[in-house]
Amino acid sequence: MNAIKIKVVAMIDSDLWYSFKRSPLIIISATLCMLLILSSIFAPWLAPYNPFDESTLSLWAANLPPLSTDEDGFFYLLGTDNQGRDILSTILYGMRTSLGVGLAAVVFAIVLGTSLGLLAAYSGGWLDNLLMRVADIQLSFPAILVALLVNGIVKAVLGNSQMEMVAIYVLILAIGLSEWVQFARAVRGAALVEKQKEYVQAARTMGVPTLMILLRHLLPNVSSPILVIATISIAVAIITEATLSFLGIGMPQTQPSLGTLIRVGGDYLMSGEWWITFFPGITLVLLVLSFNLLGDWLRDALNPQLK
Amino acid sequence: MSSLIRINNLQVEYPSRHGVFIALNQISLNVDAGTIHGLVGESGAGKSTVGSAIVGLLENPGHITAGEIIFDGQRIDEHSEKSLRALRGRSIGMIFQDPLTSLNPLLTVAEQLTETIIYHLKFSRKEAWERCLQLLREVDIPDPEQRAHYYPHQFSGGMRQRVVIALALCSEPKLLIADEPTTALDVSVQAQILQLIKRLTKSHNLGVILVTHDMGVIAQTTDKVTVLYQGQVVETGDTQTILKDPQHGYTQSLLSAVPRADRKLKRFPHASWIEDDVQSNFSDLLDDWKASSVKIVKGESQNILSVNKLNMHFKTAGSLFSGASKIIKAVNDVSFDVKRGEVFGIVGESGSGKSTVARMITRLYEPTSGNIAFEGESVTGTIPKVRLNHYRRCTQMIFQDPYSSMNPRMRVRDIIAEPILLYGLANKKEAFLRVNKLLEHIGLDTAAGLKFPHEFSGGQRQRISIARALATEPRLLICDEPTSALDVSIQAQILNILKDLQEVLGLTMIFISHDLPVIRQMCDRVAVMKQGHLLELTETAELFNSPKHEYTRTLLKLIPSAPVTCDSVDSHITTT
Amino acid sequence: MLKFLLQRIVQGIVVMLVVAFVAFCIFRFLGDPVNNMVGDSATEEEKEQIRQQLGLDEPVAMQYLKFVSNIAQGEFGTSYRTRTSVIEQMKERLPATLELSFISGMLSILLGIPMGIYSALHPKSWLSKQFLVGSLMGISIPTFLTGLLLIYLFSVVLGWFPSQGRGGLVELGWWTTSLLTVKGWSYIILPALTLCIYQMTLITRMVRAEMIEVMRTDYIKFAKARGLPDRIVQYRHGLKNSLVPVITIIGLQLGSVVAFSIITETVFNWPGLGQMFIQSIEFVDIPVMSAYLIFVGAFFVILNLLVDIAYAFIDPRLRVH
Repeated sequence: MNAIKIKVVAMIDSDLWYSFKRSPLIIISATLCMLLILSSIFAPWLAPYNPFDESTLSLWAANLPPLSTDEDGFFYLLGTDNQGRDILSTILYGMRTSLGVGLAAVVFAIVLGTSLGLLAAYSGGWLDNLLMRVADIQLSFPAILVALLVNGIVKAVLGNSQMEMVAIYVLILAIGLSEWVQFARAVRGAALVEKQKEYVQAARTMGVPTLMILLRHLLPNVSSPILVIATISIAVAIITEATLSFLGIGMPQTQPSLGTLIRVGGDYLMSGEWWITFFPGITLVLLVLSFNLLGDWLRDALNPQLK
Repeated sequence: MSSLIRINNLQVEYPSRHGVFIALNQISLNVDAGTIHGLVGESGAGKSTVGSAIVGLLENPGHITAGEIIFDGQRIDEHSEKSLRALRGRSIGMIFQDPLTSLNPLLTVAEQLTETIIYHLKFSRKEAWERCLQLLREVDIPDPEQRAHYYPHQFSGGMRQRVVIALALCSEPKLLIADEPTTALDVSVQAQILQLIKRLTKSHNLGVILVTHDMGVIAQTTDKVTVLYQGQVVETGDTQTILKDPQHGYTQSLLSAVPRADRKLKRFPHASWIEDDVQSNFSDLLDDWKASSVKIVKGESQNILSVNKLNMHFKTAGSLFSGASKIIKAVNDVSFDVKRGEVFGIVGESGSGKSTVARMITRLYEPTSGNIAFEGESVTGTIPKVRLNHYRRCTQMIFQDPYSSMNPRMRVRDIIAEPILLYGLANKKEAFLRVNKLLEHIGLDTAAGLKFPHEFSGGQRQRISIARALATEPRLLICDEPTSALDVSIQAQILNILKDLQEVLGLTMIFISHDLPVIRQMCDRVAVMKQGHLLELTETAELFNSPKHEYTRTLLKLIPSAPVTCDSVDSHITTT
Repeated sequence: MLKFLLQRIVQGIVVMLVVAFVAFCIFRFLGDPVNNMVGDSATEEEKEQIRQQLGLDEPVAMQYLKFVSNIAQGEFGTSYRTRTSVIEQMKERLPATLELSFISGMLSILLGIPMGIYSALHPKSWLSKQFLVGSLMGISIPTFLTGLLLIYLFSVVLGWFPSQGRGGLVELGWWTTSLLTVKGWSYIILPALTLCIYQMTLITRMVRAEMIEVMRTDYIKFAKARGLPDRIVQYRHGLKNSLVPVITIIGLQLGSVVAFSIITETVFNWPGLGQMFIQSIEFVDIPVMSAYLIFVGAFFVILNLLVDIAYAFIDPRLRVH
């Protein structure tokens, strides 16, 4: 009980909370972020139509502008796309994919990057050298290119038909692999600094087992950079997913994703049907922007030098 | 005679969300031309803030809220940034603590000097070059024509500080503010820099404000001194007078806390005015020690630890191209025995290998060759797990930096209990009971166990780390510069605790320090190390009275002269 | 200094060998190159003949060596899809990509660096806050969306610039350029702008961060304490010291311009290497994929080398010891 009380008091009293309260922009972006996440979780309940349900699709209702009603009396707040799918519903479902892939890819990248970074920092020597050279080489290739390449390789191994079924996992793998380096480098850098500190040496003189030193002593102390990079990485991962889907090598056309939706809309942009691109586009930007704002703020708030 | 600079009732405040922090509270100060005025105090005294306030470089959000600063007959605290800038460098020079970071690494010394000279004195390039050479000559940089074209990284620390001084003197300022100018330097270099500042003060008729925490520096260098305590002036006057006859209680305890090299005192005098003073009593801990499961294995061997021909060689990271990597011999054939119950000192400058020896004893480093035996049994290399655990439990270490020696994300209770639980000496409940007992013994209440390290001051943290070291009821305590990161009064307190522990519990201690007076106060026997070699090993009194080795003699000579004669302080302490 | 550069050159070669190894693995082990190269109607003998031609019966190490030496001679094989020489395809498309990357790279450097410096030196000013908001928007809008937005605005609504392809070309030997005619510029301006915006915002943000870092150091404090004017403190001391990290950033960013051109080229149907790469992924055209990989690798290694040379000129700690 007491411990919980202390924790709560510490939270409210913390500098982080203080700086959160004082910045309206951050409160707005955090709220927006939560709203978008919640609405994508509850998409099946919130969406007026189910874009997967083939029976509701009709080409008669294709490419309707916003605020229009089709012949059967269905109302489309944001209009419909080329297959007659309600844009609002598709956006809600598409956001699910974007967020899901983004979060999963970042979790994958965190686990991989953090463990390799800690390992490199703690073991030093040739293992450290090898891991960091690999990281260096990969870092000189932009994330999007790495993701493209992983995607291409998997596709070559599996073939097109199987690819459709596992597309979402391939995306997670590809994006995760393209971002682990950031975590590995940041964690390694922070861990090298922490490792020199006397509390780690104290633990070593006591004979604390290596794994426990890594998990109990080093990991909690390198968690702030992980948090900051993770927030920004989610934004990057969402962009990467959308980009890959836009390029036609991410999610298959049949599944809703903000990227594929924009790709479809792009074809109709020339004929002035802007809404198919515009609404998914704005959603994507808001989603990414809210994560970027949070990441920026976290970095400043957690950086003791700036205080 | 009117003062060069006069500060009247200056108040500097730092507002924050936790309330307003008053860094300087109504302080007044007069500095005359041609004199060195010392500002002395411990951390948090606000001594550095004075200098920053004078030149208008207070860090945000600090600002002056009251009082006035009159420089050369002019009031300057109300000056705009622009006119203050004209004063800075032109009439007021500043020197910072760390010469490594004070110089721009991408410009040569000449470039940095001439740009300042040209800007302030409007000299031509050629005249500026002449003046640049003259300045470098003045601060004793040999061969200035050539060295002026060096980049900062090509100079040693002491030389860089000379360059910094030359830069501060570029435009013949009247006032020089030196903020801990020698703290980052080795003892031998420190003496030379202070000598230089003294000489320049006379030759340029400078007024100097010398900010320092070191009473030795004050005694050696200053004409007048002002003692600051938590943002307030507690005492000011002629240096000699104040050192001989301090009036204020704080000054008295500050002086009495300075370790002396001339003779060993049983304890540091009990000093008031410092952070929550602890009267530690460890005698009831002794029962725990006696009941402890650690039995002295081979009862009466006199040496608890024997170090035999220890060598430690580091390889520098050889790259693909620089060919064979270089080998640095950090420790070279070092042998010594530590007797049961004694305090064994190891003294040396940075790079002497003294810390490396400690790290080999605690098995952080594996020695290249040689042997360490604890109670007659070897503890180097691979040894049976039982013996290893027994050894680790019996040997505990106290680290130098109390700010980093505890995991900031763990509660104090868990930090102290960690070794108890690790060696399975008790279950969690018993361990926390023992933690509470230890916390009481080091003068903290049990509620402290639930807090995190950052909620404590440096002295308190060092006491917590002593509690952690005691948690496993060790036999041998290794103290690696345990007080060098602490203020002098806190140092006295910590050293007293260590003395008590050693006396009551009969602990054996290996005490590593660069500070000879501290060694004198703490140790029974001392080993002197230099560049990996053990030069001399003898009784402490013997070492101080008749040093055998040439190097030891030089070290002893460099100890800053004792700030006070013994009697004055002793008499004051007894009267307070 | 010479040693330092030599070291970097050897490092670059090692990196290239690693990249070539990845490309080799892709080429050798993904799918069966022989089946891909001959039609379905080919007989076993024909297949065997090609197998020997490619040297697929030799030990793998030998094959790798051959692969590397082929690359060194500019021999990248034949595309599975178009059945034409990969190197010819690349030669045709190289000018398009390089011109696009160069224009947008220049734009993002020339705009990004001053904005970064300004917002670091005047953190409280109104303009800096606009830069900051703008840069946050910039990194939050995906490149393809920027492209579509520009197309809609300038091609569909205003009708100022064409939205697709590359035109107004002038041939200079084998190099075709669109920079010599007004028409050429009208084609390149939108894709270049699209590509530039994301890079520019990244450069602005990083330059700002580095500069703020430098302005907090002791030697800047000491320079101020010597009473030097802001102009000297900020530009001579601050800027010069932040140049070292800034150059790294620019190096990396220019590299990623080439990668991001993949997206831009797709949006604008720009006939460059990126478009070729996307097509090769779609059709699992492995020789083209591995050739593109090697091209990007070489581009990065050369850029990094240039960055290192620039370092050595700026930082005396690398020049003199």
